[in-house]
Amino acid sequence: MSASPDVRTPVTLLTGFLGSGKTTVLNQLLRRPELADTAVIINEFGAVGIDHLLVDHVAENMRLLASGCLCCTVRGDLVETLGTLAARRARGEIGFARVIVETTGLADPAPVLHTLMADPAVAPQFRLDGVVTTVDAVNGAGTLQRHAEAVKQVGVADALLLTKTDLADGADVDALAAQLARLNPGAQVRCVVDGAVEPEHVLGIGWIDPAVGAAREFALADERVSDHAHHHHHDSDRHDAHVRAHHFAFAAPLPEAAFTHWLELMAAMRGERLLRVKGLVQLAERPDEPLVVHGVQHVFHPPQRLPAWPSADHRTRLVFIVRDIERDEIVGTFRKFVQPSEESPA
Amino acid sequence: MTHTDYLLRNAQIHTMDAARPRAEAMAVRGGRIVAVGSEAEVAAAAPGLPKIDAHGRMVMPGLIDVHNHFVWAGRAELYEVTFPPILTLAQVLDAVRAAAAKKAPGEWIVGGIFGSGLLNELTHEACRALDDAAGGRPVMLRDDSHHNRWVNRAALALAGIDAQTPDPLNGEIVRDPATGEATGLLKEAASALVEAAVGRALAADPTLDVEAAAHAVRRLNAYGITGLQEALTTRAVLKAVQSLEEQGRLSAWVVGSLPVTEAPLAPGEAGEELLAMRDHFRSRHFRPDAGKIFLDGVPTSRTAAMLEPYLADAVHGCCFRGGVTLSVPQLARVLADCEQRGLAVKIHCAGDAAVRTALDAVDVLRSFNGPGLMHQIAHASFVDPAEVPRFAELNVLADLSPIIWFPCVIVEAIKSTVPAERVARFWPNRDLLEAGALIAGGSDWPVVPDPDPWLGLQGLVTRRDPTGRFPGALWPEQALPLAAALAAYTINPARALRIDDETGSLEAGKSADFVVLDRHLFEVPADTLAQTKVLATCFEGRVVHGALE
Repeated sequence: MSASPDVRTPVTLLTGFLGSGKTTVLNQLLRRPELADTAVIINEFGAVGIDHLLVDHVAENMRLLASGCLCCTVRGDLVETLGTLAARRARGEIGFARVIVETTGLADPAPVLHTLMADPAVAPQFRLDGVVTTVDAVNGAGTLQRHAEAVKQVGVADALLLTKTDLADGADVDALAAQLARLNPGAQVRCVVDGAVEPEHVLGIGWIDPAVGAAREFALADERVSDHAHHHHHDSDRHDAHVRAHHFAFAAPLPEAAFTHWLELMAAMRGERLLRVKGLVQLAERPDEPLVVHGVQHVFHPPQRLPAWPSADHRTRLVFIVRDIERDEIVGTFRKFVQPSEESPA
Repeated sequence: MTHTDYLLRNAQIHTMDAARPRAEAMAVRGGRIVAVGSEAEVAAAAPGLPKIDAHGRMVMPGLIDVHNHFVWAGRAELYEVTFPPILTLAQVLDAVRAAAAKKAPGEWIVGGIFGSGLLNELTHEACRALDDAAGGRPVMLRDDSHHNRWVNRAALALAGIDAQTPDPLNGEIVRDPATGEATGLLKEAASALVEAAVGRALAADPTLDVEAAAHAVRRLNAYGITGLQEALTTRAVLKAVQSLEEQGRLSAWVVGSLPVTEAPLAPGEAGEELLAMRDHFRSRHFRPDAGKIFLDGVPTSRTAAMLEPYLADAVHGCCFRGGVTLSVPQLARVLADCEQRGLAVKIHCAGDAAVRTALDAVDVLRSFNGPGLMHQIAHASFVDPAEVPRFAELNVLADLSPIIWFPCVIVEAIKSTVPAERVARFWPNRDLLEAGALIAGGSDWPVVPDPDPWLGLQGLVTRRDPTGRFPGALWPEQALPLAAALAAYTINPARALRIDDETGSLEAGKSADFVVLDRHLFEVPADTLAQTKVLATCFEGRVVHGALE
């Protein structure tokens, strides 16, 4: 609930399916002077082609959260590696101002996010900045159809990098970009060739600006567009047909206790199917201090109140990126548990 | 033709079937009811059957006990020292001394029931006196709530409890405030530590549990019971029931309630491994299709979750209300997982705050997942008026335990922890009934020493102690009509247990589970209902108690 600037080290999660070019992106990024003070944690040996001072390798080591289900694991390896990095920095052996974690292509990104959001050993030193996901323009559409992890990687992203667009047909690239916008309308989609990406497009993209402790403005995508788009994809064998984004805006401020209880219920009852939940909430009790909502599956970041709204728009806005949850279900339970007699969400 | 083929005639049959509430004859073939009606109708529908004259007796469906720990009860009756929960501490020690005289050195002395009123006397000195009475044998005694244990030092040692042992979650190893040593009083989940030690001794001979189960089923059949819900179905219970079934001795429908969260009386039982055994143990008469959750403890040890504070005491201060073991979201999630597996959950809620939490969780479950299985609130005793209509709205059964809650020693003990005016307003059965709730009666045997459903039936109707030991009526406005009380022991629990395809009423197609009574319940004074004698109990048409003619 602090309003002071966040001095914790930002961590960027770089993910993307096998062969989607995330290592190329990482190599290009690490050549940039802005990235000189970056520690890199990767899963796979030999994948990073340059001799970066602070590359650390970790073996996968899943650990079940005490209260969680199978999807709510933390990465014990990551906890240890981040702890070691922090300790070495404290002893003056190394210096770094940010961390990039590159996951394996097949990895479920949720455990890494849980680690960064909720692990008591990690949270005092590190904060999740943003999630960057690479998608291969040539094979991406097929990968999304066949692999649930790939859809999940797209669903949790703050930024989507469409790679190998020079090798793909222009119409296919457009179709894939439209599909990504449907799966995750809040994420920026950018085309990159040969891994060339501007650092500002992938770093500092989390929607909380640590310098001022305030939220960056985030726009609601046009609900009609995303609703319209998903009607084309009702083939249940396709993994990407199950994932969609639901957006909500509420003009009236919400009672804090009822709202947080509802979020708890959503996490408990539907956690497996909540890929990512983000939002700014206007509380009835403190309408000038937006509440930040950030959840991945069952795990929600401890609620954080910000000192000010990022713009004149003080409406509550929520985005649910979900697998197989209908909008009506979210609306129905919201009405019952948060606003039994109030107007329905816009 | 076998002895499960006959036509019962000249009977006053109360079928509990709304479509045909009364009949005079019933045809049974192969253990199934083939026709119910007038003698002429039945004879025409099922010709050629030998006739049995019921001599105008009242006949009704076999009774169903919705809350019963029969294997544990059988152990208690066959192997344990038993005394009523009205003994003084000195009398309890005498009972242990007498039991010790018949036991080999080192053999366990297990038993009860001591009254909750003794809890404050169970000091370090009392523990030493228990050592002396038992001649050094390990002793474990249960209190009238069955949630607490009193043990001696030999038992503490076998349970691995010493001054360093931490209190388990939701339990307390009561310690001497001066020395920190365990006094021998183990509350709630701490009881499991010593029960486990007793369990290890029992497991050494599996026939012990099978004989205990057989004994208990015989006792229940003698009271007219032909169906029951086993309310905490552990591995040992599963094995005993399976053996009984294999030996053809399971003469009752049994629904098992597997612990789905850690249960204070069944440590280490809950979990995937137990759930995975369901189909291995499922049999013709046994359905492991219920779950069990303890959401709170009991009021006598101030572990029930109450909306209003307990009476002040030195340990808990002025404003202690107890607490629940799961939050609303946690419970809702567990219920959702259970529904997905086809488990209807019996939720133990002794306090009104626990009842509210349970109903809130079911409300969440229904809101997210829509209609599902009927779950149960067990011992729906302290119920806030605001909660009464929610049982029906949310499709939750009220599992009543009349033998525990009519004026008796437990009620007296509760008055020492809960304000008397609150105790005078519990067990709102009539309100539940009028609000449309499905209600069912259970004994919680061996929490009560006698599972006699006729005691419970009379208690539901009179709100008085049928034995006359404890005077007065508890909230008499909440008395149930006899017909509703009978439904609570027959068709209602059959529905809640999803065995109404087999039993619970007398209608064609169902199992011939019925009783012949020595009196017409609707024609005798309500205060004689408990004296009802069952002349015959038939299960699947077969006489399992008494005689048909």
